[in-house]
Amino acid sequence: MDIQNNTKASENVRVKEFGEAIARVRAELARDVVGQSDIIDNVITAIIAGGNVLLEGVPGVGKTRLVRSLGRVLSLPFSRIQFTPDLMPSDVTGTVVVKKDASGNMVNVFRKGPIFSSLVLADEINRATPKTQSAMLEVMQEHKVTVANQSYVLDEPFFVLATENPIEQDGTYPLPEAQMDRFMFKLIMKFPAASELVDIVKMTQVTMAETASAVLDGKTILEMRALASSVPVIDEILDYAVRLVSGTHPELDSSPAATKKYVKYGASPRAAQAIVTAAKVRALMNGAFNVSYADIDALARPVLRHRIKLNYTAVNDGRTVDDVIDMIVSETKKK
Amino acid sequence: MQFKKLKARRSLLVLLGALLLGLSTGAVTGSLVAIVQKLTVREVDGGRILVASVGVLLAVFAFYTVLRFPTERRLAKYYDEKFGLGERVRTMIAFSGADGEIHKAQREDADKRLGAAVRAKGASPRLLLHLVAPIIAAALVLVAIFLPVHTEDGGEPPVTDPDFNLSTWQEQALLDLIETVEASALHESPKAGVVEELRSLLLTLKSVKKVSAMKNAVISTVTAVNKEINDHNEYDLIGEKMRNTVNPAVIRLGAAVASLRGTLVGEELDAIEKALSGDVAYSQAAAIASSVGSALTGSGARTDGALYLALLAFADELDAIADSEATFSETELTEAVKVAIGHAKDTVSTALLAESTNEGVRNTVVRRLLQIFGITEDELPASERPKDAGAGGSDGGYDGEDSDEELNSGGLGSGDMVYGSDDTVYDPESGEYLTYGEVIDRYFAKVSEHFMDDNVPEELEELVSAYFAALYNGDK
Repeated sequence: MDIQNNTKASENVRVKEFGEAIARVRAELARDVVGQSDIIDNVITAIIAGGNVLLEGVPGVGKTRLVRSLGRVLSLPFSRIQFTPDLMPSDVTGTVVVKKDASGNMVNVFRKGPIFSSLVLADEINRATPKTQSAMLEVMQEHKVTVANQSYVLDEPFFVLATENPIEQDGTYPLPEAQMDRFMFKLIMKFPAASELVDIVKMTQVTMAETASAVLDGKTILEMRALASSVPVIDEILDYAVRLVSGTHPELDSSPAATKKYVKYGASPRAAQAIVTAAKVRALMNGAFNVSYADIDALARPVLRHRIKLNYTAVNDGRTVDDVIDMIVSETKKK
Repeated sequence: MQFKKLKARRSLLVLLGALLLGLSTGAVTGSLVAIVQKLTVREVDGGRILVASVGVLLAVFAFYTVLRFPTERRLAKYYDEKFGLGERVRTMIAFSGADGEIHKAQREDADKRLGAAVRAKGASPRLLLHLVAPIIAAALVLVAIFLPVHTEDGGEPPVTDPDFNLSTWQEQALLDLIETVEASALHESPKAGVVEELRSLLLTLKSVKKVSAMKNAVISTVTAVNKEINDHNEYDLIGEKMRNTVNPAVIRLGAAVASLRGTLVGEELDAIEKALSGDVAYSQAAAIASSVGSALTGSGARTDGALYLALLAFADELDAIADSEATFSETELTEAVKVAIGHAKDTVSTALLAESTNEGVRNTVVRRLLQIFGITEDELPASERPKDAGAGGSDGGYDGEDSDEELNSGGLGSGDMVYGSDDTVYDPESGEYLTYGEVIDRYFAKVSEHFMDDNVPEELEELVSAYFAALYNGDK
């Protein structure tokens, strides 16, 4: 697809190509990943929007396979980092080694770490020490690595999909809330349905290899990102998004009753930025030229679930964070 | 552009709807007013119905238009929600001025989808609701038209406010009344005001078109005449103050003054004369003088009024007697008291006579006005009705005899005195013996009723009016 060079075509054509490109990506990914269409859509949204994703899922649901296939489909280099408690920051970012050059002199050479990639799977990020986590998250935030006073800028697009295992809590270092805030989405990859599991087994009996083909490249993704940023959003929807995020703060008088009852503390302003940015991409992915209320509502859970901390009353009442988010959305709509 | 077409169409529909609703509510209002008028035996006033209907029509039209007139934002929201367009139309309107390529594409897409949705589902507003109001209005209009006017006996409804035209004889009778007042013994102070009121009434009645307006004008004149004379007469003011003192003799004297009866005043003064004797004479004199003096001061009456001066002089004379306790003999005391009482009888009764004359003129003017224009005393407010002849006993002199001065000065007394005869005649209807004047009054009242019914030819009306005018004027 050649969006940028097609300067004579109207934006309508470019948007149409946008939608078609997304459809092709979905189709290709479906060859390697069964089901999980919401997860796939949200991951694609985050990539185009320039955000990162925190993925929670039990082992074996296809997290690594998804990111690997995504790398193939998007023609982006892929790397996987398995986080362990003994993983050092330099294991992530790279380190300076001493080598003998051609003339026999000993020179310092920077050996790039696995972070120097476009798609990075940070597996079980909560197993790494806080120091290693912070090194990782610094790269996510700034898209550059600084080693020995030398900065190395990462190529765009740069996307990190970090995973957390919800089962193993022993020996883990949960990410602090301030760090969690740097992820655009938190997605929960559920155990596949029975029919999906049948399909998975059937597929993997044939081959375990990913068979998806490349349909996009990094340059195109950047063009799509630029296009998405110009999607118009009316003030009422902006106001709605802001009220939604503000409504997660129990200390505010205007917050819904559910917030005051169940939330300990709410989402940061980054959540409002994330929800609007992602909504623009989502609108284009669905063939629309503007953001709608439905786009905001659909992104409320992924954007807010890792940014809201529930109190003991919620635990006592058996309310999950998704339940509370749904209540907040419902009450905000009524106003 | 599809949206612009829809907006224009919607605007027109709103205006039509406003007009339809306005006409309907106007018709409902007019019908209700007419129905109420018919049921309460009123005349169906077309003007009032029209004003009410038009007023409601305009108000409803304006209110509906302001409330429902489609702004672009309001309409955009409506279509987005109606057709589930995902805020496309609102975005199109909000960014209508943006010239970015994606904005143009967004507008094209929104307009295209809106057009498709309208073609598929239609954009017509609910018309049925707009038909309900006209149906109700039509039903009420029919009821208002065909509902008969309610009457208590089921007969023809009375014409509650017929037309009025000042007739020649009424005009002449009023002019004659004015002349009579001018020639009367009414005090100059209220006389000018009374005459002015009567002249003003004459002018007003020349332009009045309805009987109700005529009656209002006459009643207003009666009120004004009463005020002129009440403002001048002070017997009730002074008498009432004297009645509120603590001295029994002064209280009784005050009651006599307030009754306007000279004979009663004379009797009370005689009683005071008898009381001012013996050991208590001087203290009694002082007490009476003090009470009268304080009553006069507190009455608010004019200090140059005849009655005020007469009573003040009386109080002064009693004061002088009281001060002479050390020097007076029994004989001197008796003489002084007799003189003071004699003075009081003369001056107080003279003052009362004048005020009584004023009262008499007032009663006659009021009764004459009622007679001329066929108004009953019941139609007057109770406080404005003339006092019965003899009530209060305006007999002028203290000894009960008629004063020649009263008659010869042209003062208007009650009907029997005007005609110079107090003969009575038997009335078979009531079984009473009525004075000549009362009979004339009754006949004239009946004649006036027939005049009001337009049953008498105009020429005969004038002849009969002239006859009664002559009787009232005392012409032979």
